[in-house]
Amino acid sequence: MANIVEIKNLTKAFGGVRAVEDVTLQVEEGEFMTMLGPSGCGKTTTLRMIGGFEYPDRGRVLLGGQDVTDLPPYKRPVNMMFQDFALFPHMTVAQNIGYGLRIGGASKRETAKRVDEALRTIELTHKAVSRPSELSIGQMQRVALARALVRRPKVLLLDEPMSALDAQLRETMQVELRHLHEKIGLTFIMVTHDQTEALVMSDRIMVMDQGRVVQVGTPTELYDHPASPYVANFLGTSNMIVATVSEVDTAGVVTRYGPHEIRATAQGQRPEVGVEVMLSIRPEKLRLLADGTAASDDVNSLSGVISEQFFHGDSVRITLDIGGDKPLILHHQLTSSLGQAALPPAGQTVTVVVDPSSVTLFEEVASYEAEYLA
Amino acid sequence: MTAYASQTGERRRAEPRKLRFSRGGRDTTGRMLGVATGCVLAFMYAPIVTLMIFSFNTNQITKLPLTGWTLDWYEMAFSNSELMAALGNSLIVAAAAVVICLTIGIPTAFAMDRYEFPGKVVFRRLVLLPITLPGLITGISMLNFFSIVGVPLSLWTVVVGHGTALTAIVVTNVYARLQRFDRRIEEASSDLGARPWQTFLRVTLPNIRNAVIGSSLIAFTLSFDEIPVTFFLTGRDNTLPMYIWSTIRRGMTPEINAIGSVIIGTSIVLLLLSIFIMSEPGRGRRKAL
Repeated sequence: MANIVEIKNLTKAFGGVRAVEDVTLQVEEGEFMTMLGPSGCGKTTTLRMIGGFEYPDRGRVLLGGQDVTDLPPYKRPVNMMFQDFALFPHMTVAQNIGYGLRIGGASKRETAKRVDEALRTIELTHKAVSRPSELSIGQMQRVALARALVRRPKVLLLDEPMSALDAQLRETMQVELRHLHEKIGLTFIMVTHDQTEALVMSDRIMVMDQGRVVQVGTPTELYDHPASPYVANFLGTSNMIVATVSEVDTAGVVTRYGPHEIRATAQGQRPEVGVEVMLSIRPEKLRLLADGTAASDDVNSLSGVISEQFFHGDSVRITLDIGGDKPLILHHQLTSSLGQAALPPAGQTVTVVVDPSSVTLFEEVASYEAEYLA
Repeated sequence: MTAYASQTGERRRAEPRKLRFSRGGRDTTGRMLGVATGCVLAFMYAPIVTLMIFSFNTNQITKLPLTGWTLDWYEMAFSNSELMAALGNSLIVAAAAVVICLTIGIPTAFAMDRYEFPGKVVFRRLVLLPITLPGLITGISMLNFFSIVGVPLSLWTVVVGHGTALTAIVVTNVYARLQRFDRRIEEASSDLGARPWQTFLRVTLPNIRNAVIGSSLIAFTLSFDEIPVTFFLTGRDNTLPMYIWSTIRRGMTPEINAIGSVIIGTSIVLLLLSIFIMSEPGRGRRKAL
């Protein structure tokens, strides 16, 4: 498939502060691409440069193969759904949706017809003559979406589309937006700081930090094979521990953490023996071993004392002290009918196992500690 | 315990104690409020109402008791060509001054809101200064200026005088509105294909309309009854307040009462009109805030 959006080496500074630095990305036609990162990481500025609201200091923006870097927003075949929606307060819902069509030279009849269609699609026909202020947040969002889509853009840009919604509505809208994307097959580029949202909705995610691209990949790639401690920690939660390399062999890397040996598959990585590395283990990859069962040889088996348990309804979060610098956290899914009662109580010594392939090894320890834990 | 404390604290804040009056065990707060309101309104409007009443009184001299009901004074006022010319002049001057205020004031407000330039703070102060200057100073200095430059005094020099003094009103109002203006709706407009001038006409202007209309009305009214600047800058033409002032020196006439009443009536109509115009698009916005 062809690249509908291509950005090359985009760089933008505001008053001497680099907001976006050397960002390059290709988005395929029909893809749902998400730019993810904490506030101030440059994701919104990048989106605004695609929309034409900011002019890059360096780099180019291509839409459908055409260089649009020098074009103003009104000449670009993309539309944006703004954060907090930016509906026109002095116009009715129907006028808001029809605005882009009227400006584009569509006749009154044509506009009315397409606005009617749009209103039916978003199920707001009864609100056609209401002002935006008379709508609920969810309705406003639908109007903003309809307004951006009615011009049939090549790409839809979404700037934190869910930030105004409460948690429950957010979940519903995530699914609805995902369905809409599948239905109309349009290219979506979304900006969010919410990792769950990014994981749920996107085909691919670009993780950004301090103006730079950290990693680009599918949600599963990013989650299972984070390229850096930053990504591992930003997407979901993870046990991040500092261990010392004790052995490097063909099957991977063996490290020492407190009294334990932890093996990581660590494909392609050859750290030197004796150096400190960072291990990332997802809490749900740690399995509690049932009483009396022995761990097989090919998995890491760690024993420790349960220090705390937090009941989450469908799961229990267990803090396990295994004698290292930091306790491990594990999520134990409650599947048996016994529920929490089947779990060993706090204070008891238990064994957990984790597959070497589920242990991610990072050779950059110092930088991570300094930047993200400080 | 802390939860309880904060709860009671909130209740106390939610119901502040009000001053209450009572007499013979009955709560008379409502009546006292009514009396106070009446006093304030009387203080503000009694003179105006008096003027309107006397404009319908048959007696040539403005004094009690009332002698009878007549419309003669209105007829006289409207057939007084000098008075009518003065009224016409005042309307022309006020309208022209408003045009000047808007053409200078709106772009100025935009420049102050949207651009950073050296000396911006000084510029802002300088633009707002004329409204705080006494009319006397503006009048004398402009009179000097016009005579040095060699511009003959006329209604148009009055218009310029009013324009400089009142531009600040438009600037302040429009600037204040722009400061609260959500610029993302302009971006949304641009995103939807509107060129900058289309965005200005269809999105920006409708949203600052209230400030523009409101400040125009204020500027119009202030210009309409302005004396000091007019006094120095007018040529042979008289404006209405100048005419009234000069006739009153020869004694108050019911004719003046009549034209005064007409102006009050017009003001009320204008006021209602502006409320009607401004409330329509504001309806939604108030809820949104």
